[in-house]
Amino acid sequence: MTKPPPDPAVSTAFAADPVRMRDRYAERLRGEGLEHPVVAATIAALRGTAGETTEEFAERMGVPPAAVLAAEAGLLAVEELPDPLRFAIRGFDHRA
Amino acid sequence: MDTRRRELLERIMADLAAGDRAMVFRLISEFGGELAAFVHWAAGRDGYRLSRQEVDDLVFDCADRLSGLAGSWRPDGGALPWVWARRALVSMIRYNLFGPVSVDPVQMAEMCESEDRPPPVGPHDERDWLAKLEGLEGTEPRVAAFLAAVEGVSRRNVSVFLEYRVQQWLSDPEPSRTVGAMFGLKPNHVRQIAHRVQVRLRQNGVERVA
Repeated sequence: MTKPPPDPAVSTAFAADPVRMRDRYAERLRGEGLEHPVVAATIAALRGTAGETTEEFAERMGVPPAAVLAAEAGLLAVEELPDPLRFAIRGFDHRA
Repeated sequence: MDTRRRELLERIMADLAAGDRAMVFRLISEFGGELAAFVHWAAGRDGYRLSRQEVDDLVFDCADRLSGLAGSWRPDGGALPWVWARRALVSMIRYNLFGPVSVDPVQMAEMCESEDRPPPVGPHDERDWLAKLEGLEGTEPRVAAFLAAVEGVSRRNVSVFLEYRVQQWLSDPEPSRTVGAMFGLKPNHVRQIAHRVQVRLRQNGVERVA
């Protein structure tokens, strides 16, 4: 009999490396053909970790939702982002 | 898992099913411990000890894979997503760690006929190869890899595929006709089924030894 998966109530002590997770996602997006995968992955990581919808994240950042959507679609280079998103990406990268 | 965490998990899976891929990061931040435990368990089945970087990478890979499967997961089914999708995740983890697995269907058929194999549990159709293979899953890594790769394929189609390969190996001049007679299928249908299963195996990182 195959040993079953671990008890779901017991988890290992695990702290995700956010930069490594972001980089892995960026590689995925690069493979899917996005023009600016690192920007897209970083904005997604920031929004996803906070568990926010596009609108909630945009409101917290003080930017239009369309800017968040464009950034996550990989359509914007870092220098094309509104300042709050550009600063957020810089802050994320400085975790490394 | 307590009710609050269960509800959070269901919300995250619903968001992923709706196409919000960024929620992969929420899944990892909230349930990374459980995913890491699953990854350790999956790699441990092959006696492999993971580095910290491999755990991180495989946790992400599992979360990303679950985002693609989220639309099929049913919260009222009871099983946690990584348990429900364990065969697909184990297959992916094996592929990411070890590369494609070579599996010889004829060798597996011989394992099923060995006197040492555990008998299938409960009543079964003698043509049901899955019933014979499932008893070997815990002791034969190639069988486990094969079963993971054919997850979602019907029992009948898996059996048709294995019988077809066995008949070819036996130099049967008309293997599709022989297997068709066993399963009440037309020869052309047998060949189509065998081809589709072979494609599925390759897609899931299992190569057939010629």
